[in-house]
Amino acid sequence: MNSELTGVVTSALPLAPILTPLGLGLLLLIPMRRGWRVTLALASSLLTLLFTLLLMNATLGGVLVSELGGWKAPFGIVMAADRLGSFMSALAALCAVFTVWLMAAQPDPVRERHHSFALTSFLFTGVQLSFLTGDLFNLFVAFEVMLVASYALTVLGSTREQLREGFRYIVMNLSASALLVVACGLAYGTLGTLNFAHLAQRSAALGPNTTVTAVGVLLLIVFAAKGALFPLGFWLPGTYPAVPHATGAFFAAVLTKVGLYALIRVFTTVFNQDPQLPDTLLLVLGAVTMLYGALGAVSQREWRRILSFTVVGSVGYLAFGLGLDSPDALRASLAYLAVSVVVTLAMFLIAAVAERASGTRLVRARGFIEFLPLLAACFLFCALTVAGLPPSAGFVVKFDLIRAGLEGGTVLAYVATASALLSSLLTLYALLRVWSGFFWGRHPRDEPVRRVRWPERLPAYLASALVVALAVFAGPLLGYARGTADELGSNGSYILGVLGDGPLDLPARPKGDDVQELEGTP
Amino acid sequence: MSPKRAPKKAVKAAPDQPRPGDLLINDPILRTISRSVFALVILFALLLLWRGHNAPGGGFIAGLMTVCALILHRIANSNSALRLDPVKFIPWGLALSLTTGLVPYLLGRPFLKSDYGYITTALTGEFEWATALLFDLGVFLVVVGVGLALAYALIDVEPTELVEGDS
Repeated sequence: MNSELTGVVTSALPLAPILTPLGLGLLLLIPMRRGWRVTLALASSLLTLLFTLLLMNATLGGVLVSELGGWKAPFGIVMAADRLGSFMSALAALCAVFTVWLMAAQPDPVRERHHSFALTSFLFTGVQLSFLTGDLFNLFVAFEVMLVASYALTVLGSTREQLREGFRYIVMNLSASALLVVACGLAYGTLGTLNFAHLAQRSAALGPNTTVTAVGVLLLIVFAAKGALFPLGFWLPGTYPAVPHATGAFFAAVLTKVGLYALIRVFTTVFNQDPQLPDTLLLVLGAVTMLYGALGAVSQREWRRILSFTVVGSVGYLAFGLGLDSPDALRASLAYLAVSVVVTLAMFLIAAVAERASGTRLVRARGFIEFLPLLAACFLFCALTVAGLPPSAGFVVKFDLIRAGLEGGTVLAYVATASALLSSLLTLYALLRVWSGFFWGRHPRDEPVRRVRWPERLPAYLASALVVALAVFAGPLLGYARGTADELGSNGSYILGVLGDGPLDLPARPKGDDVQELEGTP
Repeated sequence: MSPKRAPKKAVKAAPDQPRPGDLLINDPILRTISRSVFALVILFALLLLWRGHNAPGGGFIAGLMTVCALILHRIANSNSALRLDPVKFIPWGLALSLTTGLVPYLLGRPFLKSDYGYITTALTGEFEWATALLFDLGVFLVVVGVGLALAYALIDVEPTELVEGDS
């Protein structure tokens, strides 16, 4: 191995979070007792979390690369973990632990007989792969692994609502995937490579170029559909409430963020030569998505539909931050991303308890503060975090984001900032209405109150505790986000980390004559 | 499959009359030709699988060709050439591929690193073996399983079937 010479740090670690859920997910297919299955699934998710934390620690010093089959980039497919990738992968692994926990606490014999545990594990595999891969086509593969598992989980159980919403979800995502393949083809046709670092190097060498920008915008459309930005996000608020609580929480917390991660990766690391058009698009889409999410949340009456619309809103904030395209905005977006993932997870877990306790998906019965006082406190704090009010972490990151927006200087940035402020207010209204509709007031005695066992309640409390912890440790979070934004801002370190600084001797493209000479025909 | 599906309400038709949605083509010419074509396609698929790790071909395309041959057999003879449920192939194939990749990984070499060597026999001459062939075999099994499961599910569709809530 002469990898020391070229500056590429190879390690087996970036593959570990991908292979763990894949291998143990396969083992979950073996018929076994429920107790064993739950233990195995929990062990798998905890092990994945451990690996991602190790990876996060290891990538503080630079990019780690795993070469598949020992083929160096750009010839082979590599897994490349930088600070952003390992950070996202740790967040996803954290959500995975809570998902498996809630699945274990809510037995569902029919879905479990059809391997819901194994499918969830494959879903985690796809998510981890999409965060850690260093190759555009492999990213497509990762999306497909993730989506196929999520299609299965969406329709598993075959209720009427699931099939209706699942069909919409599948058609939408299949079309987006087809566009992603087209974009991969165009990128390969234009730049002759699909490795992220190599794409970045070559597009930098080419300079601003219309075709490359077109490919970038095509990718933007694809990832906007996956991440549920405004006109393409219509599938989201219907799909997430249709699936069971545990998987719904993971879908809401992580799956849209995968699309956002891909946007960040593509527009900071890879195609950053001509940011004018993508940035404008992201700002406009972000501004509209925020308002759409907030207004949608106000208009809904069901727990998880309201929360799904707040997920749409959070995607809008991230697009807004990314569209501002300044180091400060990027830092704020990355910190917001972490807060949003954790608080969405906590909110969906709280909704799961609330729906079980009241026996309905509507926010209808009042006075539940009497029966679930701790849950009410958790909800209030999470609501403040989503809306962005002090003393929560949501306030810190939204403040950072708004400040970056005001420093943006263009009219569009000001309009988007105004939209961000307005939609925060609307979101606060929507969530406080949930508070007053469910927790506050007097409980009507004719409404039933179901007892929710503590294993089901505990994940909600613990996730809310994490939200509080984010508020306490907002400083270190912003510091980490600053480091990540710096690394993304100078994409040289990523290119160097993956390709090395040694001379890259690509063989010249064979001409027709050469081929004939080699073949020995006249 | 789905727990809430109502009992099937298919109308029993006369045995010689194909029911709607039944892909039963009782064509003697097709049946006769399908036998030889089936053998040829399978042979070609196996060749692709055999050389795939180092030349054009591979488990994926070999699997697709095998699926084509099996679908042809199913259409011509209206019975499956396999005694096994094709869905069972998927986890086994995936496990085989994963294990092939995992062994070098756990031994401290890159994931999916293929080992290879040469053996010379009187019959085949010098032959290059590679553990990538095992990986290809796993991919082959997955593709056959998925392809057949999809095709059989589509062949077995009964338009007369009702689900809960239909009126």
